[in-house]
Amino acid sequence: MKKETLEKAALGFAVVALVSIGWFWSVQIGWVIETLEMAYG
Amino acid sequence: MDLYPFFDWLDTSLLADISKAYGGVFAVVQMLHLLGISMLGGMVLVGDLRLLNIVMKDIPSEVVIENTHKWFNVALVMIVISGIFMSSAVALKLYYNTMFWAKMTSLTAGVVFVYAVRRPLLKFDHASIKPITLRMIAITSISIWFTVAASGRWIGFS
Repeated sequence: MKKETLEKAALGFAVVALVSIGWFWSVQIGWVIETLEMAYG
Repeated sequence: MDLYPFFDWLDTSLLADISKAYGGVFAVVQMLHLLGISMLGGMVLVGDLRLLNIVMKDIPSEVVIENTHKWFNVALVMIVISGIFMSSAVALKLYYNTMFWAKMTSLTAGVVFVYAVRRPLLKFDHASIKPITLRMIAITSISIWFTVAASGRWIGFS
């Protein structure tokens, strides 16, 4: 495959992956905070 | 696609009989799994931190990437084989565990990223690739493999 195409694919993959990972961990951390609030007020 | 039949089969397979009956065997395989994770994590960090120009600046990044990729492959095979064995002990429990599926999703994304994008692109001369692309590849790679490892650890708490 051509380098330019791979570069575009890499950037596209990177954006989608980083946004998804950011969303995933924010949900997990939110869940932990919610649990701690339920336990300790 | 429902994978329940596969997990149901795995739960009653010979592999499951061994993993459930012999704690010593399970412990050794778990040790190999952790060894594989540490090796994979090490290779990812060395390669990606080199791409970010943080470590091993005196060695060409092409050389670092080439050498770390070989051991990355070995680590990945170790992790997958030992992981299948370990999951056979609690196959149905894992099927209903959200974090297990998060780990599998990120693992799939990581494998696709490495073999379909990162590896083919980094075979070219790194000086000919835009620096922003190299940095994005490194940050994405570290983030994906961190998610694989962390969500795997999270299975134990969920």
